[in-house]
Amino acid sequence: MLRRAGRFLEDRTGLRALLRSALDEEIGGGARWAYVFGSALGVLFVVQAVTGALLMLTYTPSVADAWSSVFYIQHRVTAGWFVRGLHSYGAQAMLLVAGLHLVQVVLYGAYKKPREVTWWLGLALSGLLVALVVTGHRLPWDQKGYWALLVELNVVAATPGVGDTLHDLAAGGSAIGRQTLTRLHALHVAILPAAVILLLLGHRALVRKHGRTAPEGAEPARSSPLYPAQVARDLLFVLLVLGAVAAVTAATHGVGLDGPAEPDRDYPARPEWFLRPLYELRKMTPGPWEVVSTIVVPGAVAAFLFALPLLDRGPSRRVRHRLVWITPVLLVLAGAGALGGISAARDRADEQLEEALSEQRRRTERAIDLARAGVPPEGPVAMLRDDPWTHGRDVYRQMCTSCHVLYGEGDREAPDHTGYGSRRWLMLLMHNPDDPHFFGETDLEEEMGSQDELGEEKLRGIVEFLFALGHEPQDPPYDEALAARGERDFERECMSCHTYGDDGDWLGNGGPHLSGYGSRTWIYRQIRDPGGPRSYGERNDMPAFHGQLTEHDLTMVTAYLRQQRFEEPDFTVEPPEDE
Amino acid sequence: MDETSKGRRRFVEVLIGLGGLAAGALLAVPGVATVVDPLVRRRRPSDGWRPIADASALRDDAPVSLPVIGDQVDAWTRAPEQRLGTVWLVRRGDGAIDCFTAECPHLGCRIGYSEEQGTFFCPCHESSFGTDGSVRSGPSPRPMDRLEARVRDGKIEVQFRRFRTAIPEQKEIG
Repeated sequence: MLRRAGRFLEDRTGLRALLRSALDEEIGGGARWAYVFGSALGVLFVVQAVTGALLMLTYTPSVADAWSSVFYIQHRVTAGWFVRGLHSYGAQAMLLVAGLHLVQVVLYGAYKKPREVTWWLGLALSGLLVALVVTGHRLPWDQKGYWALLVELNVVAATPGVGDTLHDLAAGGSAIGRQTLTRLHALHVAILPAAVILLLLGHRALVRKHGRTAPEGAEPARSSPLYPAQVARDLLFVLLVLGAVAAVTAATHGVGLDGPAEPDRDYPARPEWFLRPLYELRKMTPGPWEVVSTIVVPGAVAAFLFALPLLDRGPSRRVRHRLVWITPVLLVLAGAGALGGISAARDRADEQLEEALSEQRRRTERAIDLARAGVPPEGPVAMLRDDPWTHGRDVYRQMCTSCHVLYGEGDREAPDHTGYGSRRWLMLLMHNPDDPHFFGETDLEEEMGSQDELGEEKLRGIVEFLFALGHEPQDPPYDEALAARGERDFERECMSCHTYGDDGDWLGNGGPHLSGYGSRTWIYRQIRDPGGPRSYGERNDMPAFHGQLTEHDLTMVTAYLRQQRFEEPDFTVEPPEDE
Repeated sequence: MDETSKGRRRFVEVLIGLGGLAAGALLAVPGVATVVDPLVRRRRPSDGWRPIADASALRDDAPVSLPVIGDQVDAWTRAPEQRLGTVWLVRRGDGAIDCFTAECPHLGCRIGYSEEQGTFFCPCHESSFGTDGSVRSGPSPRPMDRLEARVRDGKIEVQFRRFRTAIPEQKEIG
């Protein structure tokens, strides 16, 4: 029955004959391990096509959605991280195998007549492979990819004469934007793969037409069909590569995802490892010599490889007769390796870079944490902009650390904000307000003085009362009885200078109005207008930030600072000086 | 083959050629038009003074970096109050204000300021610049790009522009 069906199909399609003719391809000189690279690249390309299609089930090529959809693939979709890992590491493995393929072909002299076109198609395929890997790395629209892309587009734009045109065509406009990503995506999933398939068909047809290039002196009688000897070798090598790719994917839990692209923030852009040599070269060629590293050197290497079969026309394919042609290729590879090594070593020794990267790691982790709760439709940048721990922190670090200290960072000219508004912070303040961690470096030094004489018991109550002043409905509860007792003591002991409640703008006897102390409203007002009648009035020495910060910045930095009431100070204070 | 069939064959060949060309052009013309659309759509750089902050934001001891806020038009979207770029403001000894865009003239990364060294610094390819914008070291082909700035009614205003990177001369882009 089965056999009849098979015969039916065979009569009408000739499939079996086709397969047999493919498997019977004659390998002159017999099967060899040296021939596995080309076939492996073919199989790896199929793996890329399959994993790529799987990623496209989720990936969304929109500036607002790209990062979030990759986050979703990486952290939510079942086996998403594994598919993405295979795709990304698989692509990088292809670059390595393509390099091996090239070296093998050069050593065997396999580019020589009549195989020049096979060689040229191979070179073009390598170029397409690099283009695919580069465009692919930019698609997650993360910091790393975004800034590398920015630099690459600007390199393109600097091409004499046609730079502007090339840049705008690639970027889909005069600046990076929505159409940059849609264009990259179209290149990556349609245009470049279509070109690969066309050239690959041509390359493979020519290999079949001209046969493999056995080393000179190989026994011609040993020729064998493709199947099974060569196919077995090819398969074993493919399994080795795929095994390595899968192992790396499993060991690293897939390719990492950097934080979302933030065009607002600076970032130390670095290209992928295989472009590192050009990157390092670029840093070595200043100013007008830049074209040397962006155009002259890569252009010369490409031209040399292209011209190789035209230059090396001698009859011999033996390595020792062709050293003059083989050496430059190996030198270029060695030079690229050396430059890459230098570049990596220089970055490892760069403390400023490490600092920037560790800041970015923090941001990345935060972005991923936030994304777990769901990214808003406006995208991940809006998500970070509305996050006090990210944007509030940015504002704080930019505007506040020139006087205040938080987590040990900043100049100690005004109160330390670590644990600001917490019970412990308030207690330390009562203990010694003139400590450098509080008002010791400000004009308010010696205004308040230590309150130790009130005794531990009363102070605990007053601290609870002050803590309760900034209480907001969503906060954990405070000790109401203790705070009530503290309120009575506060009225007795502190109201000669301070006030609270609805006493209008009364500044007391110089101490700030404490209604809502430690609440969002209080902090907001303090930052916006610290010299206002409900803050420090004429005694204020802090700059007002209204006009310098947008409303949103103010809200964010306020929320960020307010979080400190639920943390602990990381410092203690000196005992107060005796009066 | 007689002369008539040869002529007839020639005629059919010409027809096939023309037909092929027509079919190709049907795809190629709109295809090229779509691809080069960004070149046709180049926007003119926008002029005008943009207020960026109160004059009190300036510092005497160090350069200050401030965002430039404006409407951002990108393909089918228009977003109000976006950060278009960043500028560095330096108050000179004579009281005048120097304003530089933070976009590195080398390859467009964001220039930062190192308080320790008192220089501007680009993290991508390690170009560094003096507080007057001049190149101190690194691959930058020209000094930091200067923007026009002024103080009006207590507000700092700048004319924000972008320039082509990696070339020695200053060439504005849209």
